[in-house]
Amino acid sequence: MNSLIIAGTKSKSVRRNSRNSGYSLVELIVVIGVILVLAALITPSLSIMRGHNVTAASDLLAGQMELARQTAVAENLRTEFRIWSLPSASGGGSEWNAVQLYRVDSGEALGKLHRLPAGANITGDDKYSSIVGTKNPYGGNATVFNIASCPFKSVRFGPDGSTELDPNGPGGAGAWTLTVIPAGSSPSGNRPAKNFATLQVDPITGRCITYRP
Amino acid sequence: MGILAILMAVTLSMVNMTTKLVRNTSGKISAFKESRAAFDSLTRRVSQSTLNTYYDYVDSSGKSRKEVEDSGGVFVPDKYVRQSELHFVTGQANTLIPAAAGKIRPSHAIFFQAMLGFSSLPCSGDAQLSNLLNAVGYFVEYGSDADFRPGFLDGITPARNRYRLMQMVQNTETLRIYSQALTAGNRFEWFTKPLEATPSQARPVAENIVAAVFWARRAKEDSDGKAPLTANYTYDTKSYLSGGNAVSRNQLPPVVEVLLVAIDEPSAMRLEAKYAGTAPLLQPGALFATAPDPGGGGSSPLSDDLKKLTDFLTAESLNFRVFTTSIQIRQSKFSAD
Repeated sequence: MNSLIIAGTKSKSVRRNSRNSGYSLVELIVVIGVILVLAALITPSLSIMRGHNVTAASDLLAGQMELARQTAVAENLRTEFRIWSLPSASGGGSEWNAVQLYRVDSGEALGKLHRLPAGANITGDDKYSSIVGTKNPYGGNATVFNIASCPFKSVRFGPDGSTELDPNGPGGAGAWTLTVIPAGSSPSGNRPAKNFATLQVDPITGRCITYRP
Repeated sequence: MGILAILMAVTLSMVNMTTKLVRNTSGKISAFKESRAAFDSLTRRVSQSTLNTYYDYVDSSGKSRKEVEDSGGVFVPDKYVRQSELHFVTGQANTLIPAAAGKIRPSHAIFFQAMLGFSSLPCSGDAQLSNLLNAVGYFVEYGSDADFRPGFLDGITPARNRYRLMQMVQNTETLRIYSQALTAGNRFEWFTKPLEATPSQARPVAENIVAAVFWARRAKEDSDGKAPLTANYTYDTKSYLSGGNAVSRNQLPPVVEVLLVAIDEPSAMRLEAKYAGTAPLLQPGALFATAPDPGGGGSSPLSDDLKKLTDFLTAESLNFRVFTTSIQIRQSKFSAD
């Protein structure tokens, strides 16, 4: 009898030790399943984040442009929507990635300089961003953020809400546009990037409209 | 595992609901921003309309010295009347503007001249000539945006059919109002020719405007017992050329009542999916054909038509907003004598 009890105790002890030494197959499957579900949720959200940067950048540009127009109309003065080419936050070369509003008469800034979200910038390709292209005569170089000779391009709004851009379009044809793309992306086929946002400015009405693919 | 699944489902549904709420709220805020800006711009420009009138002699048939002498006659002055080379006209858009394929133009249009200083010659510095004369017009048009969006978008994003408030601005260099003697037959060509040209001089100022009403009327203090300026919303300062309303001869109306009806983009998408531009009440002439008579009593046709339209939009569950104001025309020196 005693020997039986001892044997039973030994047997329980052995089972407990084996349970504490690792995970069961079911536990492993559950953990792997949770990891897979989380990975499946996170993967699309990464591309959503990249898309969100483009959306935030285009909203910022459209909002600043509308503010420049409204200020010109409300305060009966000429305003300038200026896009700066500054060194990128990631340490690469310069890219069109900042915007600021100015008065045309005094050159006084009408607000702080806004950087586009780090994951997005304006493409410098004339075909997609004619406002920062060579056919826009309004631009130059100036010092900003203590960085000398930063290139900029402008859209000027008059008190009636219209712009001073060529009403017939860049070079007499086409549309005045700014296209925001995810940082580091390149044209694919006939489109500026896989994901992009194009802002079109009507030179006569000053209206800004955003197109997304 | 079950508890985890429930927690995730609850979290996802909360995120989903929050996203929808934010999207709907921001949509409502931004939906009518463009309409409001366009309405402000339109009303400001209408208030700047001018006819630059002067007085000169006409003969007994109402013809000016130039008209008579150009036709080889001898001018015999008879009356001293108000004259102007400029033109102010409101009326049904589909009768004022020639029809175009794929375009529907419901409700009204307005065309006039104003000193806006718009020139196609790029000016810089202080070389802005803000008092240059321009011709301006507004009307609602249903059609595709393929004509005025960036070309590289073709094949990437589908063209959108929408109701839009269109604006025509003729720059000073191409102003047509002085280019020919206005006659009864061709008096609208100064705006119809540029609208028919390719590319058209009309540009969208706001999307999703489904109706625009321009009603030229007397000031309230001056309307008792007097005939309304228009019975069908047509007010044409050159209609006297074809034997029309003599009261409107070369004079601006004292007040122009402006009404815009705007819908938001989600509503526009639903409207497009269901009707594709064929909604009966959004067809030319369906509404806003009979102008109110302020002295006549009874219900106002304008209010009745607006109620019909808003009832239709409500029945279709479309989110809309009505913008309305009375514009005092600054340069109007209205006289019924």
